[in-house]
Formats: sequence, structure tokens, C-alpha cells
Amino acid sequence: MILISTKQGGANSESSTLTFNASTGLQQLARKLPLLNAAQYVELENIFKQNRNQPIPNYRVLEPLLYDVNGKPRYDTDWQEESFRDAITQNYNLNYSGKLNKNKYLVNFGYQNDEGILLNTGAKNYRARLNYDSEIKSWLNSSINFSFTQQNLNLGTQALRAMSEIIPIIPLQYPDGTLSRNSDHAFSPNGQDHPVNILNNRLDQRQQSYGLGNAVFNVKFSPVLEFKTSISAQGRFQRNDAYIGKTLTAGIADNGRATINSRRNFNWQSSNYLTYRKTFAQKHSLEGLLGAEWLGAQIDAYAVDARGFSDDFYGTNNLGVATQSLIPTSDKFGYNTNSYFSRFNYNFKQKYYLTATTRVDGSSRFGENNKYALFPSAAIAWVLSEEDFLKSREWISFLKLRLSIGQTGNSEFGNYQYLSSLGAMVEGPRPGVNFPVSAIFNGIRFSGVVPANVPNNNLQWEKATQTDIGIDISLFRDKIKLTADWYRKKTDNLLYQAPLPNHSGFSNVTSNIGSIQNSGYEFGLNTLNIDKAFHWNTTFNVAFNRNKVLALGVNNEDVLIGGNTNQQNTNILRVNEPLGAFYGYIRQGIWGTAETDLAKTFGRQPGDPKLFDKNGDGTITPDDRTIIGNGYPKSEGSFINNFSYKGWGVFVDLQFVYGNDIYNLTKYTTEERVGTNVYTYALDAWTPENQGSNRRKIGSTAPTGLFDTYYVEDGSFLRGRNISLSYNFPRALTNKIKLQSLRLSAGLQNAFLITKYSGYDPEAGTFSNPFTQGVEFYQYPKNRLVNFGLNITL
Amino acid sequence: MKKVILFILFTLTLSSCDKFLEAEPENFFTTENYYTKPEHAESALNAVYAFTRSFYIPSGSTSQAAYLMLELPTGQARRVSAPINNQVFTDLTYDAQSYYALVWWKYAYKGIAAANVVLKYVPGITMNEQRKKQILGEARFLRAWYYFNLVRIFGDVVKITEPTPDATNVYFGRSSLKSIYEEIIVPDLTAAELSGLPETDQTGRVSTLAIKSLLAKVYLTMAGFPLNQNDKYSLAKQKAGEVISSGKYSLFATYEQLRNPSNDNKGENIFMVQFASGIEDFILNKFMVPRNVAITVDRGAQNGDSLRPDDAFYASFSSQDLRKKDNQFFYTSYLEYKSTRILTFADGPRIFKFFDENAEKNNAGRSGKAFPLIRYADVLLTYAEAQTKADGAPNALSYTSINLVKQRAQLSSISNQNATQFIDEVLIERNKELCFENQTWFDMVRTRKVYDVKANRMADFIGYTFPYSNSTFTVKLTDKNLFFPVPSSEIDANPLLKPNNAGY
Repeated sequence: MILISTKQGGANSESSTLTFNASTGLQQLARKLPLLNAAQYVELENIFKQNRNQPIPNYRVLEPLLYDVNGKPRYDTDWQEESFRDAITQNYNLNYSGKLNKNKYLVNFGYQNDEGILLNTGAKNYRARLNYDSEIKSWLNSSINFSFTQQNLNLGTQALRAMSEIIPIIPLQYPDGTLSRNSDHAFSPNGQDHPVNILNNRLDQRQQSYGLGNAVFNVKFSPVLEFKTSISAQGRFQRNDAYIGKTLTAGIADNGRATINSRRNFNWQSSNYLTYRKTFAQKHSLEGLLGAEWLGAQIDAYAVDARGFSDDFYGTNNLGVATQSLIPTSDKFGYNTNSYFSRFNYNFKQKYYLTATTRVDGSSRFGENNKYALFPSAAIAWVLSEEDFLKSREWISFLKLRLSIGQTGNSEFGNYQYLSSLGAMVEGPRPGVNFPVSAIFNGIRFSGVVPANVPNNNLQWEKATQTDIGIDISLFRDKIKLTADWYRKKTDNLLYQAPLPNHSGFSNVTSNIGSIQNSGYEFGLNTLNIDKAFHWNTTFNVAFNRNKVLALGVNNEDVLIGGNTNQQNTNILRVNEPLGAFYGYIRQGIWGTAETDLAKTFGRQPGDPKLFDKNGDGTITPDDRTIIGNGYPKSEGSFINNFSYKGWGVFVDLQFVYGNDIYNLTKYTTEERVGTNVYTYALDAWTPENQGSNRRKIGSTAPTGLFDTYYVEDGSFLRGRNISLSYNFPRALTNKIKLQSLRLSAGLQNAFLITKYSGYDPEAGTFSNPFTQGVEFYQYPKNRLVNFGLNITL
Repeated sequence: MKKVILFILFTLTLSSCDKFLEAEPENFFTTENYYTKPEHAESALNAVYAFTRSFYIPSGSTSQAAYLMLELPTGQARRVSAPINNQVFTDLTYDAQSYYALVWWKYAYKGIAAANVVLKYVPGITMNEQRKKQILGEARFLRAWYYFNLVRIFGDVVKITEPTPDATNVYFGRSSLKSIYEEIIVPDLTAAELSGLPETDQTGRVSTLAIKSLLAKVYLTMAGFPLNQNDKYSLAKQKAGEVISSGKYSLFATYEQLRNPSNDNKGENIFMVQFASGIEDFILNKFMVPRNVAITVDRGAQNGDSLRPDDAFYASFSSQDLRKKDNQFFYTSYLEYKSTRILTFADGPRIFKFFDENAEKNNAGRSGKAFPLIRYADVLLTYAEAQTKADGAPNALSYTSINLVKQRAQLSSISNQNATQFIDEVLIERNKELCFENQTWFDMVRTRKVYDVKANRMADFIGYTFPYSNSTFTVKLTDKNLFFPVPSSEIDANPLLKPNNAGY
């Protein structure tokens, strides 16, 4: 892949440059998960039935499609093999820039087509951009930008879980062409279609259009006074299309079901700055700035849902042929923000720096008394290398000490939360499915409304106060550059959808729930190791961050979070503990045969998970849960090396993350169930002969889904993020073929991964909730990409 | 320079008018500016009705509904292995984290919250006074129904009678089950009785006789465990008697009529949860069709076999009992979809009670059938039980009542029984007649008796071992099963709910 950076127009008074980049690549699944094959699956199911004293049905007779005359499974399907593919990626970029008198221009077109590694998935991107800068008068400059991006995605999300869960004994289709499904085997849970059927017959598409226009005018009233105004308008249009085909179990009853969700977002923004700059006596540099900013946003959305199609051909493209539809929904809302700010900069001989700023931010999202908030900040810096006592020391080229402290605000949460709104829909008992609060009388719908949220008129801006102390050093003529920072960021009035007891009629409320703190160190080291014909430089970044909760609610009461799978809480906010720490039971192992009597007092049998009775009351209740993991790493960073020799270049980018845990909830459904396929680890389950196992007995009747330490894994890893090789053809050669430059490259992304984590990839995080980070549940797998690039400049 | 400053001042003043940050929502009303018109009163009431559906619709991708929580632990449903939410209730290994309990808790309170909104805001609306009074009566009935479910499922629960004003005034502990009955359920129903609603209703709304029927059930429950208020038997007898003597209801002649969606809200159906095909589909019919037998369009692939009768329960119906015959309450074979071939189920009977023939044949199983909450057979048996308990011996009307139910099942009538025999007859009849209608579990906990399907007699709740137990795998009712656990996520959000019910 080739990254495109904004190119300024050419330097000559009348010149132009044309650059063309092309790259292509091949993507593959980086890591396959170990799922049971047909023989292993049948074995597991039989063990389950024996352990539960259930008869093993005569499948030879009952399911002749799946079992042969000897009672052996006829098929052995590897669903990962069937659903993943080698995918091609392509990326093209054309850049034309130049200068004409006092005008500079740049035109850019891009096209990207990435096939996804899942069948029928992929992303296409179309980009166009125009920049035009002019000096209209000696005192007036303008800069105008337009850009447009179109993105079309085919997602296939629904296939991910099916891929792990569909049993291996069913085929893609039967000899007569009928599609198979999990339920063809009577022991399986209902309904699931196999992933290939989903990928072929279930549309899951997202299209996004994004357009931006921006004009900036810069007026120089005098050498010291300047006024800059910027006006921008941007529109974003997003449309999600889904079609569930008639061959899918989920589509049979509906006879094909199409849904379209559309959302339109329009923003305008006006920013204005007045700047005063002056240097007195060649020592004192002063800069003063006053500014004001307005932003308005309007969003509207609608959704339609139609069912009953004579043919899957139509998809979502002609809803008029449907025979039934649900009530369409629509929505409209908006918000405005308004800010005033001032900034004062002073430096003495570029040795001592002082900055002070003040912002007043206002947002329509807050109630009458809390719309505006004040955010001051200040910073000082001392460039020691400019001092006489260091200036003479040649090996120090630059040395700067920095200190800053400042506040920023956040208002990113839903709109109108301080009002008591009435809505026609609430969250339904089936997670993710809305429930219309309308009544039905005589087979006809009668509309209803209920209060949709608890009003919170005390909502106010979230405020973060950050202190930073840093040092920048350059040694030996910049051959070694080091940046080191210590910081502490304290966030007060944290905005969050805090859970409410359901007897209030509501599940949560947007509120300022408390204070948290992030603090740590960051180091950046750049070294130029060899700078001859052979060139080698190294960049090393590492960050150590710690976070914790400082205060919660009124009495520092715990806030439990989760409910993503099986509706159980997985994370907790607790004072003095890391943000969203993993919460659950401690698994001490599996009850052994020798412990039969003790297990019985807990209502358990040998082979059941042995959970720690934390409060010692002789029974396992939710009070025995405790903090069992932290989703945030102790340290993370990258180690990048660049080598070049006579046009050849080698780039090696290693990424590391250390000390974080992952709450692998996928394990909960992929090891402790039967009827769906599971990981081969299940074969190592506890048996009277395998007492040491940490995996519950197959068919154990102990409650499943009491999340415990068994699901917590070490998430540390080292990844070869990018390794690439390039060659720049020599000038002499390119000149002959009338090119300014010609470059070829080849690269390998996600080249290798070293980790103990058992899932697809340790860079996990399935849920958007900021406090359930590091929780994985059927994550999209990571790919490995080999790519080749060509770069031509005319 | 002056011009510049003027220009900037102009820009600032132009936009900094106070209105800029005023939010004016265009897509919703707020509690403050709504509740002004008669239509608003109706829309607030409609929401109270809406939540009656929430327990009978899917609560997971397939095969899951809160309804099952009250069927699977009766021992009368067949053991299933998946999904996990169903398995724990058939194995009685459910705990405070089991999802269905949360659905009952959460959506009962959503219904109660909607009713509290009606009771607070509708009185202030200028409208037809008679209709206003009815609306308040309907809301009171529904609020009582939601609370009645809560106390029967959880015991002590939180008492909420006002809309939640803000996020701080929500942390309360649980009130005693007794006070919920005496301060909410009974007063709400007695007030609703006088709200001028019509005696019957065929559209799916609350009627005066539905209120009396529910009141009879409430009194009968109060007379049983754990309150044991014996004086309530005569009140139950009185209310059920009023429904019977009104002459407005009668049993359908056939079970086909009982099943037929065109008879919803009519005949013996006193109050039901409403559904409409293509609008809000009934789903439980799909839960009960067999899987991998081609009698339905999708071979039951989505939701089939989520609920099946246990073999021993099916066997407990005598061979004369019409309900046991195919295509009555159960079936063991059926016509292949779009064909005339008869397919026999290789592995046992399924429930036919909620089968919607027309929907299966012509509408891919999408049914609009309403689900019965109170039907006349229940009222007849309620009368028979309450009267016998109140008076010490069954009277003629009690015999007539139980015999009407028996006769329809082609069973012989009973007569000349002592009170104990008669009560057992009534309870067994309730088990058979009202099976899979979310009644059996509540009968079990209020009487602390279970229908022992193998011995064909009533047995004690505590210690009853389910018929599908064996020497290595035992499923047995104990004290802890008398109430379901308060969901742990509720206790997480509000520790004042502690302690949880005994055993959790």
C-alpha cells in the first residue's frame, strides 16, 4: 500500500508534476483457529450424552442425509476453509499539482479496491480532491479545498459466529442441491445457516459518501495584524443495506427481507481568528490571538423494512415488489456549539517560551445553566541549548525543557439528554431489537409513547486537566534525538451512560459519573546509525500508561458494565482500580474426584468448575466476583528500522504490546457447549482420568457463563507489522524513459505474530463501550497482506 | 483598524444571540409539553398494553422467550440441551444471572412505569370524563397484572407508583410481597372494577369481567402460599362467581375453536396478549412445531422444538381424554407442508394448543394469534377451588364448573367427593387444561403442590423429583425454587435490593 500525503504544488513559477502510484496485494487469514473435525465432533457429542445420561439416537436411521449406513458422518467440512479466501487488493492514485503565476493547485484522484478475506466481502474507495491557493492581493490570500470520498463496504459480519459454530458434519449442500443448515442435525441449536450460505445470500452493505468544501481567507491588515476566517460545509451520507435471502433460515418465513437504514449528516462551521505578532528589540516575540467559532449540525435518518419478495434478485433495490412492510422510522436532530478563545505567546530570544490560552466552549447538548464552560491552559519552555553555557558544546545540538498544564472539554454524547423525551420505541427483550410501545386491538396497531429517558438537567461538560513535563534532546548533529514526557490527565465529570435499576423504568442515564486518571511516560528515540552510501536509521517509541478510577457517583459506588453477551456484567468501574477492569469469579480449577464431598456442599460435582468462595459463606453467589484482569497494557510501542543503499530500501516495523489481559468471551460459546462446533481444546476437558484439566467436564451441569479467570488470557504480543523492500530506479535510467522517478516496492503486512493469546488476534476489542475494552466476542479476524507497488513521477 | 474591530464586533454579536444553543427537538415531545389532548391519553395507555407482549416474544436469536421461564421448571416440559437459557430452567440450575428473570423484572417495571405515567398525567387532560375514567381503570388493571407477576415470581419487589422524576430518586429497597398485594394490586383492581368499563370486550382491551376474573385469581393466590390469608377464598369465590353468573362467557365446544385465532377475545377468552400477523407476530406457535419434520415451511429450523411436552406428562392424560388426541392439545403426526402425505414424528408428541393452521399453510407460520392470560376454564376452576376452600365442601356450581371442563375433554363427570379429593381433582384438571399457558408454575408455588405425573396425584412441591431424573442425574424442587432470584445485574446497579431470595 502507498500512503498519500498532501502535496504542495511545485516550486517553480510555472510548473506541474504528475505522479502515479499503483499497488496490489494479496490478503490471507493470518491465523486459523483449531475447530473440531467431524470425527472429533461426534466423539464429543457422544461423551456429552453419556455424561448426561441421554440416549444416543440412532442417527443412521434418523438422519440418513448426514450419517452413512455405518453410523459414521458422511461429511467433514472445514468451515474456515470454505469461508475464507485469498483476496486481492488494489490501490491507484493519480496526483497532478502545479503552480501558475500566484496560484497553486493540486488535483488528486484515488481508487482502492480491497477484497475481504471472507467470501463476497470487501471495500471500495473512490476519492477526489482539489486544492487551490491564491494570492489575490498582497494583503489577501485564499485557500480553497474540495474533497469527495465514496466508500462501499460489504461486511459479512453475520458469518463470523456461524463459522465457528456450524458443526463439521453438515455439508455445504446435499447432492440434490438443497442447502444444509445446523438444524439438520437434531441435536444442534436452531436456526443457524452455514457461513457460506450467509456470505452468498445475505447482503450486509454499507455505503458512505463524504464531501467537504472549505474556504480560508487570510487578511493582512499590517505586518503585525492578521485576520483569518474559515468557512466550511461538510456532508456525510451513510446508507446500510441488508437483505436476507429466501434460502436462509432467517429469510424463509419472511420470504426475503430487505432493510435500508439511511443517515444524513450536515455540518457547517465558521472559525475566525485575529492575530497580532510582533518582535521587539529582536528579543521579545509576542503573539496574541482572539478567536470565535460556531458550528451547527443537522442529522436526519430513516429506516425501511420490507418483506416478501418473489425473487432474491431485487435485493434492496426495488422495495416496491415486496408484499409486506414494517412501519418505517425516521429521526431528526441537531446540535450547535459555540466557542470563544484567546491565546498569548511570548518568547525571549527563542530561549524562554510562555503560552497562555483561555477557551469558553458552549454546547446545546447541556441544560440551561450548564451550556458554557471555561477551559484555561498555560505552558512554559526553556531551550537550554541556546544558553551560552551549552552553546559551545557541539555535541548538544538541541535541548529543551517543557512544562504545560491545561484543561479541555468533552461534550460527545447523545443529544437532548437533559430533556425528558417521549419515544415510540424502547430496547426490546431481544438484545439489539427495538420494541414498539404500540398496542394492538382487533389486529390493528395503535401508536403509543413512553418517556424514553430520565432527564438529567445537571449534565455538564466533561473536563480533563492535563499536566505534561517533557524534554527534547538532539545530540551529535541530530544523529540522536530523544523525546521524553511524563504526563498526568485527570478527567472530571466523566460523561457516561450509567446503569440505572430497571425498576425505575429505565436501564441507564447519561450522567457525569466521576473522575478518572491516566498518567505515564512516553519516550521517542530517533537514531541515525549509519549515514554513508549505506543508510540506517531507527525509531523507537514506547509508552507506559496507568489509569485508575478516582471517584464515582455520590458514595464511590461500583458501576458494573457489560451485558454484551448473555446479559452479564464483565467489567467494573471501582475506585482506585483500572478503568473497566475485568470482573468475575476466580476459577481455582475443576472439582476433582477426591473432592466429591466438598464439591457437594457447593452444589457441584466432580468435573464442574471450582470457583473461589471469596466471602467464605459456603456458596457461590455474585458476591464472590472480584477484579480478575486489566484490558490496558503496561507498555506498548514500536521499533522501526529503515535501511537504504543505492536506491534499495528496506523497512522493518515491529509493534509490541505488553502486560494487558483479554477477556475472551468467544471461549464461552466455543468450548463449553455441544451442538455447535467448538475449539479442539474441548477434547482436553476434565475426565476422571484427566483430573488436572482446567476445562469443565463435557456435559457438566454447573451453570455456564459465570465469567471467571478461565476466560482471561494474556494479551501481550510482538507483531511484524510491516516489512517492505523498495527500489528507486537511478536517475540516469529514468531520464532516458522521460520520467522524473520510478519506484518499485514489495511489502508484507502482519508478517508474523508472537503471542500466547488463543483467539484470532490479540488486538481485540469487540464492543464500542469505552469501559469494555479488551473484551472479545467473535472478533473479525486479522489478515496477512503481501503487496507490490509502483510509483511513477512524470 | 477601526473597521476591523467593528467588523469583528459585528460578527460576534450577530451569532452570539442566546438562541444559538437552544435545542429545539423536532422529533419528540417531552413529558412537560405532552399530555394535553385526549389522543395523548390514549397513546400513553397504549404503551401500557404494549409491554404485555414483552414476555411472549423472542428474547434471544432463536428459541428464547421469557415465557419459557414459567414452563420449563414445571417438570412437564421435555429437557432440552440448547440454548443455555432454556437448559438451566429445565435442569433447575438457573441462578441470579439467568436472563429470563431479568426480562420479567425489567419489562414488568417498564409496564408499571407506563401505567404510572397514565395515572399521573391523564387526570389533568381535558377530555370526555367517562373515557378518562375508563383509561385510568385500564391502566390500573394492567399495573396490577404486572405487579401480580412480579410478586409471584420474585416475592418482595420494589414498590413504584409514580413516574421516575430524575436519576437520583431511584434507589429503593424491596417492599414486602404482602404490602404490594394490599397496597397496589387489590386497590388497583377494585378501583378498576368501578371505572365504567364495558362488561366484555372483543377487541383486546380490558373489560369489567376481566378485572373481576383477575381479582378472583389474585384473592386465590393471596389465600395460598406464602400469605395464607384464608379469608381471601370467599372473596375469590365471590369474584369468580360474579363472572360465571354474568352469563357472558362459555367454554368453546371444541378445542379447534379454542385454538382458532378468529376466536381471539371471544367466547371463553377473557383477556389476552394481542398479536397481529405482519405487525407484531405471535412466535410461540413456532416454538412448539417439531424440528426437522417437513410439516412447516422451514422444517422448524428457526425455533422448532423449543418447548415440547415431557413424555411422562403426556402419558398422564388418560386415553379417553380428548385433549391427548392428535390435533387437540398435542399431536404426533401432521400433513407434510403443501402436500397430503402424513408425517409421523419419530420422537414423541408436540404441543398443538397454539398451532395456527392457516398461518402455517398460507403465511409461512407468521401468526397473529393472541395468547390467553385469562380464560373462562381458568375462572370455572378458580371458582371450584375457592368455593370448596371457603365453604369446606364443593357446592353444585363447583361440580358444574369442573365437570364442564371435564366433559369437553370427554371425561366422565365427578360427584360426591370430599373437599380434599375435590381440590386435588381441580388442581390436576388445572394442570391438564391450562398446560403451557404460564399458569402451572404459579399454581405450583401458591399451593406448594405439584402434579406427580407418574403417580397421577398431587405431591409436595419441596422434594418433588422431575420425571426425567435418574440415579446419576437428579432434578428436584427445593425451597430455593419457590421464588426466582432477583437478577444480579439489578443488585449490581442497586445494592439496596440485597439480600437476594434464599438460595441465590
